[in-house]
Amino acid sequence: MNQQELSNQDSIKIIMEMVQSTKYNIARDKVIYLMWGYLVAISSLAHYVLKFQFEISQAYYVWLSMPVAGIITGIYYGRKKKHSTAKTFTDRAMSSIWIAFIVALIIFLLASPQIGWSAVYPIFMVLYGIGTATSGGIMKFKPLVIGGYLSMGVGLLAFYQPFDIQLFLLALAVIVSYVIPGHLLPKAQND
Amino acid sequence: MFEPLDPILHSQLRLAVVSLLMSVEEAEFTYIKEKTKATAGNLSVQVNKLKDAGYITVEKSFKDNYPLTTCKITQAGVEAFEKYLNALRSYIKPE
Repeated sequence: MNQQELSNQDSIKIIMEMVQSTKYNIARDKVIYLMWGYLVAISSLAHYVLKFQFEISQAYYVWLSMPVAGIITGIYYGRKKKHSTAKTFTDRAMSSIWIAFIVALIIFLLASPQIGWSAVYPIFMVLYGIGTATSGGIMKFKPLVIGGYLSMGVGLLAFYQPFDIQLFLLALAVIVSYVIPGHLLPKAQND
Repeated sequence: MFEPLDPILHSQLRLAVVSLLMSVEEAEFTYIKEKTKATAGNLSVQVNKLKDAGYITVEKSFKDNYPLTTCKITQAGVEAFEKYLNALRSYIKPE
């Protein structure tokens, strides 16, 4: 860019281009939404099959998939943060939401002996919904918002269901709030 | 009545830098360079002019042993940018 005479149109064009270029690219999160969505859905269905078809009492070990996915996510965003050369309000809003989400999730996990597992899974569905509905709202990406509220609705239903049905509902909740919106996200462009 | 355009902002590269910094909380020199496609030398000169005008702050530090320059818009910069936008608007839609 040089120091030529600027017309008003040039000025507006520069401003718009620059503002546009700083926009948060949610497509970059596609892989993370899909990974979590499929992993939770598969884990809950596997939990159901192992526990209620094969009557394996330690079926809940399938949830060890969660800390593994957590580590992968941590590395993914850690690297992204290391390479990021600007801080935006949206980055901060998104990470604030998801950090608070993780903390709330851990609190309910810790409190599970007190509140009982039959309440924990429905609470998780509501939490998943909060995460995706707020992220979708910030990004103006409707499928995440709709999926988030659907997940909360499924959570409400799950409070009244036995544990085996809850496992199905958990899979349904993440399919509507993570898997479907994840597939609807545009492919990430190299930036 | 036409308002005069702030000469500090009325320059391609300086306007681009301030527009960028309006939409991020802070940005590294390399980020601004990449987005504006400017040369390091020219950008450095313009960044200093903006700094001298009090529109941005420039902080020098280190990241992984490499020098790191971080730019951030100031309140005066925000006000100047808004004033510039209003002036532009008065040119486009004369009352």
